[in-house]
Amino acid sequence: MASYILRRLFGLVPVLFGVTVLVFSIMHLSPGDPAKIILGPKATEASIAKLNTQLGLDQPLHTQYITWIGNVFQGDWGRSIQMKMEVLPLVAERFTATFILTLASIIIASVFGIGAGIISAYKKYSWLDRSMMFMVLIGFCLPVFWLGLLLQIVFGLNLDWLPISGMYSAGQDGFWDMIRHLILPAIALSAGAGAIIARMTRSSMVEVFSQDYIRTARSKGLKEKNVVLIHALKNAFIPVLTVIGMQIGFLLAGAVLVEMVFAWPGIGTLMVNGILARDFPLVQGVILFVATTYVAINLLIDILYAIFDPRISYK
Amino acid sequence: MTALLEVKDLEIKFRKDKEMISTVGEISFAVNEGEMLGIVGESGCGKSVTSLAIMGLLPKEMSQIGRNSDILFNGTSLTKLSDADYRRVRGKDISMIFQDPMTSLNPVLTIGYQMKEMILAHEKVSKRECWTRSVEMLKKVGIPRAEQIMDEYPHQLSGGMRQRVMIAIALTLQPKLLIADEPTTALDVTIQAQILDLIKEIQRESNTAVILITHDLGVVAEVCDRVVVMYAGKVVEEAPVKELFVDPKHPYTKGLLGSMPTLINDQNRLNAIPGSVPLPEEMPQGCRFAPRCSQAMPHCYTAEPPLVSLGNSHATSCWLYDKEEQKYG
Repeated sequence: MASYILRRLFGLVPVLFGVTVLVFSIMHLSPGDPAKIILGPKATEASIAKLNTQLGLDQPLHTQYITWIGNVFQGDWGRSIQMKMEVLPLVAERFTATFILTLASIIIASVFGIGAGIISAYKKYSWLDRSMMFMVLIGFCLPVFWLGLLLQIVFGLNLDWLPISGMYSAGQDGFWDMIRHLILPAIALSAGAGAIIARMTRSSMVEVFSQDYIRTARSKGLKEKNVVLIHALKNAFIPVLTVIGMQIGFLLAGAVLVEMVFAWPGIGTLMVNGILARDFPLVQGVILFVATTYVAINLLIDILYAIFDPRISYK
Repeated sequence: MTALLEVKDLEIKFRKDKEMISTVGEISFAVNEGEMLGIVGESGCGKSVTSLAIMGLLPKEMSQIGRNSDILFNGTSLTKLSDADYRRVRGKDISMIFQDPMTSLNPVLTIGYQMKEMILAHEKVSKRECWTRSVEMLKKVGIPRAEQIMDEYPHQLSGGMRQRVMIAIALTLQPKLLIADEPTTALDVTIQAQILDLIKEIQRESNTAVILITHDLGVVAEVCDRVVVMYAGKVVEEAPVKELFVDPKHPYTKGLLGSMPTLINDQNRLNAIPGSVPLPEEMPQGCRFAPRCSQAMPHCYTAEPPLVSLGNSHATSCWLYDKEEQKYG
């Protein structure tokens, strides 16, 4: 097990290298000269050249990359052109909000998705299965921003149960206050992921239910609960886990829309504003942060694979 | 000897395109205490389905047991049990081992877990005792380093070892009846013999009754006391094992025995029964074997033959012998 984790960790090195190269290239392949953007339309050729030298942009690309990556490792992610602030603390602060939202969404999506998937698979082709899979289809098809608006109207405006925007009420910073603000955006964001997880759980469980070892488990006189939740689910969980891992990535990216609708102070709004203002250091920082998180989550999923299926770490 | 298990007019129907099709048609047989009964037949003749019916493990939404059918275990009707009561019988009173040990053990749970849960499902005992009993049982079925194997997973064991583990699990609670559904089919020939010896030995030792389901007459000859021959969901012949091999009555049994290779005759080709087993939805009228039978009479195509007792606990369902009975009896 330890050697398996170590191998996975080493496997991350080339992936992270690729990520940094990509992020670096995005900035340098994009049209537009950062110096021109910084200095504005009235800048002279001489001042642009001077700033390029200052920023090191006149150096060959590989030298620039090495300088940049060196700075990144030392915590210097550059300065946001638009916000005139250090990128790393800015991204880190906003990312926490996005991470909370994503985590809450994936928990909601997993609990309901896996639950619905198990019931559907167990009651295959029954009316319960059909109606549940119909709901899943709806959940999958609903545009996230529309669902968000709907939730705001119903639970925020009409019923007045929950706040509809922001992360905290004015003048408060309590945990429960944040949770109250989190519920609606998290539900809106979880619908699509929950639907995919439900479908995957169902098909995986249906397959496992037809396996010989399920018959063996029943022939031992085990309770159905144990047959389903231990013997079947543990076997069916690997593909579900894969989907959950992938969905976390999509949620991190897809949070943008929900964050806009609910005014959630996450990385999404930061990114959109950054792109609109051609704030390359900021965009670069956001992408690097999200990509690294995604890679880390995948590592976690890989480790979970080995916990759920002992055969994996031996391969 | 008293009958431990009595299967009475068992009819099993399966759903196919909204229609219920009878796959096993009103079969009856009994298993006595401590007896080893072989059920023989080609693939698809209903052997495995019958065993699953006894275990109450037929898929409910897909299948149905005939209204007049009954399965009596120690005098209790199993077909009338509630799900919860049936669960208590399974594993404790009747347990089962399956054909393919590669797929019958759960790949993601340790051997120890799969052994212990059997005990915990039926008895209230401490974890410590569970462990000790499981290890004891593994040793009894001839598994070396039983203590270590408790923490290992099925993929770390060979096929023969896995089947031994299956047998150990099935026998942990000393059931009165063990159903072995082709327990050696998926194994090497040398391992087959070991597993059969093991089943026979444990059966003698603990006086457990065994139903051995197989298509291999060699296996039957080696270990069984009595044989039931099935064809297309019907019992065609039932006899003590020696009697069946020396004096088979039903044309199908004769055909089966004739199709076995022997060491004495210098044959170039094995004899085969022409045709193949009919599909459940295309069951012929009258005797189900008639279309493939070399001795079939016009009568055979219209009426189903009853099971005729020939004395000496030998019985067959064939019109040839019914006539004899009418002539001499």
